Amino acid sequence: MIRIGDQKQGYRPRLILAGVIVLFGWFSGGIEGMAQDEADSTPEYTEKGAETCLACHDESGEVPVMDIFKTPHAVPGDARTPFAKNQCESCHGPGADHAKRLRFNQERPPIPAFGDSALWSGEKQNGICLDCHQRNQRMHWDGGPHQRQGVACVDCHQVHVSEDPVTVSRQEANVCADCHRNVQVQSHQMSSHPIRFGDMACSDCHQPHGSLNPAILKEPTLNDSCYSCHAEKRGPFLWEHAPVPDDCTNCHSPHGSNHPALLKQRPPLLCQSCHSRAGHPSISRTSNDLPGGRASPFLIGGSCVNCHSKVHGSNHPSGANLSR
Amino acid sequence: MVAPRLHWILPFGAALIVSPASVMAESDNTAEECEACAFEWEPRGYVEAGILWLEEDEPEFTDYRGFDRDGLFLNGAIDVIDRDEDGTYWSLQGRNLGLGSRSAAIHAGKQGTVNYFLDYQELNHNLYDSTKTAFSGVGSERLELSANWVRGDTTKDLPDLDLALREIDIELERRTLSTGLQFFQGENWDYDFQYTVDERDGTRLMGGSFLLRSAILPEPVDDITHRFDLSVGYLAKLWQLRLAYHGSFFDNDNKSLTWDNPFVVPGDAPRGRSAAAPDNRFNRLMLSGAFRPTRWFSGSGHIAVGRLEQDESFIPATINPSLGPVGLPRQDLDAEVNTLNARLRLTGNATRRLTLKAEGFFDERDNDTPVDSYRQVGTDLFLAELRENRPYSFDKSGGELSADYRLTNTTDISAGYGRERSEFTFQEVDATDTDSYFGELQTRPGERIELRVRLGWEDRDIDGGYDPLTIAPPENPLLRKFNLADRDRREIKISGNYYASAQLSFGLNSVYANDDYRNSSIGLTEARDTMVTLDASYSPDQSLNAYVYFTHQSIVSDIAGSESFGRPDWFAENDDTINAFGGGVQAREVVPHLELGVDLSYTRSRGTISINSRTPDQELPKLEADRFSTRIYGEYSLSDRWSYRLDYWLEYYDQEDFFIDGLAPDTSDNVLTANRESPDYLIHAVGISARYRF
Repeated sequence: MIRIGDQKQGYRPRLILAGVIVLFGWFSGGIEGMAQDEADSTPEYTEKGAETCLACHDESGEVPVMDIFKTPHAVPGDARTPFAKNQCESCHGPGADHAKRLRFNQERPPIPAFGDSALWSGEKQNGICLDCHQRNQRMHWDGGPHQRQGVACVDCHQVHVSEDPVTVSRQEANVCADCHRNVQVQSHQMSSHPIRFGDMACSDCHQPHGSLNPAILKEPTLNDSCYSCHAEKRGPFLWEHAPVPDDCTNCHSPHGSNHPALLKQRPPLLCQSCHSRAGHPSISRTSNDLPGGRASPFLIGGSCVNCHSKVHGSNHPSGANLSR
Repeated sequence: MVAPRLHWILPFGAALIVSPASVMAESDNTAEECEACAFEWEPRGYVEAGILWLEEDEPEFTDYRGFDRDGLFLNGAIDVIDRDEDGTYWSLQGRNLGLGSRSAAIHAGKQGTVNYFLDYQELNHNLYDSTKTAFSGVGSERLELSANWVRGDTTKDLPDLDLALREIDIELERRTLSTGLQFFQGENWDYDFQYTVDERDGTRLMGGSFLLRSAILPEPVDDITHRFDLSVGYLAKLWQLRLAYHGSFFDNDNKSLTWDNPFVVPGDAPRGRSAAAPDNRFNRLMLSGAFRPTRWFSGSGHIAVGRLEQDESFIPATINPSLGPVGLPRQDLDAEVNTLNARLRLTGNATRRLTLKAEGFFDERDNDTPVDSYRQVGTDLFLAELRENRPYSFDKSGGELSADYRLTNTTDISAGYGRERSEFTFQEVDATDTDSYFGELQTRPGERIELRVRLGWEDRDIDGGYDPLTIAPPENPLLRKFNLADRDRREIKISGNYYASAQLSFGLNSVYANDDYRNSSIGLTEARDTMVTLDASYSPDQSLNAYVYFTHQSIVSDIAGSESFGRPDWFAENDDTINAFGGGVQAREVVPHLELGVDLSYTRSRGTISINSRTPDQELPKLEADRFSTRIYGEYSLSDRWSYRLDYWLEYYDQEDFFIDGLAPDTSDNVLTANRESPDYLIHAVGISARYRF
């Protein structure tokens, strides 16, 4: 004989298990999947894909789109690309509503993604790009400064052009300058890296898709970034200058400066910010030290580096004062 | 038994039905073949050839631009790409092919399977061309004065100086060749290999001293850096990993620089010898990864272990024959620095409105270089004390917690707290602790306006006191080195955008930052940085783009010193003010087939150094740099294939730098300088080219 109490106890674990599965499915799918505000319930794709879109969005359209066929996105032979899947709708989302025949006076519904009045949120639109472009460079996108500030992929990238300007080294800085104009202006100062001629791109040092250090540098540390091109400063030296291995920006301003060698200040004041030994390091240098007066080597020319030229470190046995 | 299994299946199946996971299943709806799609499977691109004319080869203008003289240059460019339906492709790009800043690149492969590239770039860094030197052998490791050179006490006592001086250019050329291969294995694995060789040669200036006398010398640069990067990555649905090796090997063809002593100095050193940057190598292994188990939670991190090594044989402690050989404790440094860098970031949506982020980092530089005592020889003149080398190490670790909360659909607020501890060896401070806080507001009060305000505070405190190092002569005990000192940092950032219409937008970006070294009586005591940028852009349609901007930046540093080795008795302020404005217009089809464009920029920099000391309120001459540059171009398309382009550049640059202006080689008694002069020019350049598209 089976007792009713026993049967009730037998169902409880199964019900609990089912509840756990529902909750897990909830977080896996995301509450957003059930949200109504993005109106993406039961979205439908067009029957004919790009043929439908191109009936309106052709060469004569207000927004040129045809150049996408010159890009890696439009290679059906590569199964990963949008045009090997749902074509335009792979990125723009199901477009049946947008493309349908309208009733009199009916306003055309917007396309879900990447259009005027797009339905989907910026984060979801970014997710479309990241679904494919998530390897390697985009690994640290989440939580990075661009993601936190709501920068969209399309704020920097153009997909419907034959050559995306931000991927072209000599044009990249102009795209970054849309938001970082002050940095672009610094490259016009007396001393700068070769950014304004396109010989060096912002992405030579920075990883705009996000990295784990505060300045979104590509390398793990700031000094590693500098040593990529300036390996002669890496050492290790017999006689090290302590602020150098600590942080190059203790003395340098990498985007541009009003002083030679991208320095934040000139010697002697730069050096006197940290040195005040008895003797010549602690003497103030005034207009009496100019060529019309004493023409002091402690001020004019290279000032301190007239003698202490090995400021990044010295491997000479007698180089403790960085003069050899 | 069947019945008990059914009892499990029914609730399990019901759970699946109501699970949103099923709602999110993608539809498999690959569209049909597209006849209207204008795929391009033929090679396309352009080749361009032309002539450039440069009025004057002023180094400040030609710096990085690739000109090595004035006059006419043949120039060219190419950009060709061929992409096939199966994903195979190749491309060839070349730019400035007739100039010293030329670059070329070949890319080829098959999308999603294999990619190969070969890049080449030249870069010229022109520094000065008015420089003079009395030394022969420029470009070598041995600089000599003439056989009949008469040494003197000061630069005024060198009778052969004027005859010996010759002009030299100070410039560096960098040539970079890189190649790489990337291939994919299935959907998950990818392998990446890159090799870069970076070669530099040229000349730069360095000081070579003999106690209180010095000569500015042309130092040869001739080095090569090899870089290797190999990585393997695995991409899964919810996580990815990458293991990467990076190797960098620096090889300096020059081991030292030896130069004849032009002066009569106590100790009578006939020549001096300085060590060049030693060969070094850096190897690093890094494991990085990211995971996203749900749309509401993600994390990423990396851990990198590396080692720097340097074992270049020492040159002698002196080459002064009158001092005899000076023993060395070892023949080379056998330097070894182990590095460890680890970072982790976790981001999660606690609710739909609240995002939490936690970050942690650890950065270690563990210098295992042997410590020995080295007998110093003061600038090849006299035996001095024994000095122990200091292999600096540091540990930096910390983290940050932050929260972003969506107050309304148009307003987000954020706040965060961070903590960092830094530990040092061989320095005045054993450790510092830094607490940082920030608060931020982002709001869109209307459809057309975005505003962001961020406040930041950072307080750094020395843990355990500031102990001046035991050196002779000693540092002022009141000195605090600013990278170690107690510091209060305050920062406010305000930025915003106003979208007047779909075509016209305005932007504002401003920052004020203040560093107060509150316990520093001597040294850097305060620094302030103020920056404001205003810009506007107008783009009514695809045929017209226009932009304009203005930037003002002020960087002020306050330094205190003491000539009496006690309380501060002099104060200095370094004030750099930079104002810049610029703009540009690009107009297509101004008249049919004609595109016109103009870009111009003006940057005005003024540096003021004020000293308040024994002679009160002194101001040194201003450091000035004014740069106005403009580029105007027109491109006329004769047909779909042919177009002609005319470019015109004008640049005005005027610099006044009292550190070098009017400084003849013998102006300073103690230093034989190199006759540098500040640039001052107005230069025109014109280019005409033809482009063929296919």
